[in-house]
Amino acid sequence: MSEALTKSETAKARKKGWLPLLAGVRLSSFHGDVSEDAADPLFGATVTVPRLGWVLRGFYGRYYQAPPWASITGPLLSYANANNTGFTPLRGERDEEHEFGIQIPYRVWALEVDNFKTRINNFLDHSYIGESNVYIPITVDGALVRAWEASPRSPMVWRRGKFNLTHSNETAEQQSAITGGLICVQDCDDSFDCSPVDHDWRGTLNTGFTANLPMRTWFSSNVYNGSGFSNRTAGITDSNGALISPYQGDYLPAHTTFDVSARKRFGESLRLAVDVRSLAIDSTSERDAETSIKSSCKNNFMRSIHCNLGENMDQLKATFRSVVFIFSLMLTVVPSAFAHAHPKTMVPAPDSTGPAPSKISITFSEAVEPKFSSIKLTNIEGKPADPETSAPVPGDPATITLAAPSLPAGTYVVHWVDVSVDGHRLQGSYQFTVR
Amino acid sequence: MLTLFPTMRIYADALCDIAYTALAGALLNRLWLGRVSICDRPLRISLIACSAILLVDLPLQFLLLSASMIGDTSWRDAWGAVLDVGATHSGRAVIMGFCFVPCLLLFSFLPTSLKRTKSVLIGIALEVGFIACRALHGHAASNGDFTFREGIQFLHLSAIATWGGGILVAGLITMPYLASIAELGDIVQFGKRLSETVTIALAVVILSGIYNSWEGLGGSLSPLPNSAWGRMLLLKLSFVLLALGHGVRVRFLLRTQDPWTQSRTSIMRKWVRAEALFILLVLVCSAWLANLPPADM
Repeated sequence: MSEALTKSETAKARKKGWLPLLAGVRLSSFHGDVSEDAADPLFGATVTVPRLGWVLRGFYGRYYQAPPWASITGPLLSYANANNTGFTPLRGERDEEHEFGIQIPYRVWALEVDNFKTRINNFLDHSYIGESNVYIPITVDGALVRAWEASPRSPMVWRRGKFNLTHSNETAEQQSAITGGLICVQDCDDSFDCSPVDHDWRGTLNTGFTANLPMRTWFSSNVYNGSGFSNRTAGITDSNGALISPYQGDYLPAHTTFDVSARKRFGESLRLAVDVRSLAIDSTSERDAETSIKSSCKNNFMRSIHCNLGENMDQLKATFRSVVFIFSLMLTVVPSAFAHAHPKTMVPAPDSTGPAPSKISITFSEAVEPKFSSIKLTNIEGKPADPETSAPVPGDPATITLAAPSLPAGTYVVHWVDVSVDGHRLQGSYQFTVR
Repeated sequence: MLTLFPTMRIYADALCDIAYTALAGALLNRLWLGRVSICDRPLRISLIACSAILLVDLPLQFLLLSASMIGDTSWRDAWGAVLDVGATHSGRAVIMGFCFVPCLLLFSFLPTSLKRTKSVLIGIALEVGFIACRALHGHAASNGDFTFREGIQFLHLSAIATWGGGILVAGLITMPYLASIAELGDIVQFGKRLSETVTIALAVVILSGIYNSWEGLGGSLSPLPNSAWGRMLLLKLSFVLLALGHGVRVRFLLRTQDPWTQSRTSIMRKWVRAEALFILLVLVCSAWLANLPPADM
């Protein structure tokens, strides 16, 4: 909110004088298991440097955020208690926000740089019960969120459209103990000292183009690249050498999304908008099928189509919106992999246990390119376990085999790569055990 | 490190689809214009531009194909594998298609390329050869070469080039030109020829599209909302229907017996142009479809 306020002030600065000011107080009152009141001041100022035309803006504000949950009861509380946890009433989060920004105009362009710092008391986060995926709100004693953002602003290009480019970086740290929500009951070690929040956004880059086209048509595209949700607890062990988090992967790996939308107006009463959102672009999708499957949420392929009809066609509009809503639901979250042929028959079978096989064979769903398709065998530590190279089966372009020497007892990993005749590649691995 | 290879593959495919479709459209538009030769220059420029785009885009597609086959590691690795890729099925298809491109470029530079019907037909023959190679490349090749599926794919691509290309060039080049210079009678005659050819092409697009979709969906409608390929197909279908809607409006406009006026010409020009924009979106969706795993896998 503060950013919007100050940027809006920036835009108006030249019209309203060289020092527009903004001030106010926000009063909040919350009553539940706990009762809290807050009187939060906010203050902002924008200064335009004479001659240079540079605009400096600053903002200070406090903000109270009421607790999202009152309590947990019933089977959920029983389950929490069974996992050495309980629930204490949550208190609201109190933020103190500082912001400083500068806008440097150059001819018709402008560069905007902003720095944000937020100190948080009673930081609202969440934690899971035991090793389940049931997440319950908690509050942590304190947190510090710091971010900066740089954004060159383009003028209208060819009187048709504008480019946008924004890079931002954010870090979030928390400190001290859990103070409310899901808490540990006994023999707990829940204090920590200024550790990174485990799901902070790091760098993001956003770029796109918005164009006003002829015939009352509007088009915009946007590419978003995010470094994802890092998992700062991965690899960290407690005093007993056990991993402190049951989940070791990134919460959301680095990813890129591509959105396009187009709108057209037909007469005065009919508007059509097509939004194609998050057409998945993913760095890992072709490299590792297993990774792609595990992280299907990041590979989302969400698209929605909105058909907006004019004001005098409300009923039809509602019908269209219903159809659009259903259509949007249908189009939500699909894993995508730019790949094609996939294993149909594997000998030995995945996760099987048996005598040492004489050969390893994979039959794919369709013919594969033998020069680019292969099978490799390693032991569980990843060391090569078979000096042979894989070969296609004469007369069967969909099958590749790897002659296996007498394998000693142990667990082995089969790594396969296939390139189908249409040029698409897929790879993966599976395990089997020799008795 | 984020690799841009998958994205570039889609854009390179889309660019190629748009270029060869527009190339077909330029040739067909010249046929539909008959004796009216006022659009020869812009049509020839579009022929040259499309051929030049193909000349650059196909080698890029080949390199991206090479990158795809080795796992999108780096441009250097992709370059190192090009000889091996040339020996693969899809590599051969791209090379064969590329052989037609210099011929098309040479043809488009010829001063007489659009002057006579016979020379336009030579250009169309080269375009058909290119489309035949294009049909060998992609999901349709999964069952082997010279199969029924590849034949249907060839028909589908040819019909899309006729419908899409015809409308694209008509909407963006020919119609605005005709509207500003030509007689009303010439515009109506052009519109009728365009409409008749496009109606037949659309019938082929729909029938072959149904067959291709059925194959891609593995003989079931359930993957349609449940797979990326199926959803992209729905998106493509929605754009096809939008383009079709505009086409139908133009068709009805041409069939009315009322005297032809300047305002009706203007309306027709706008509708054809809107249809052309939707066809561009259809072609981009087709490129996405070619790079997504079919729902039958």
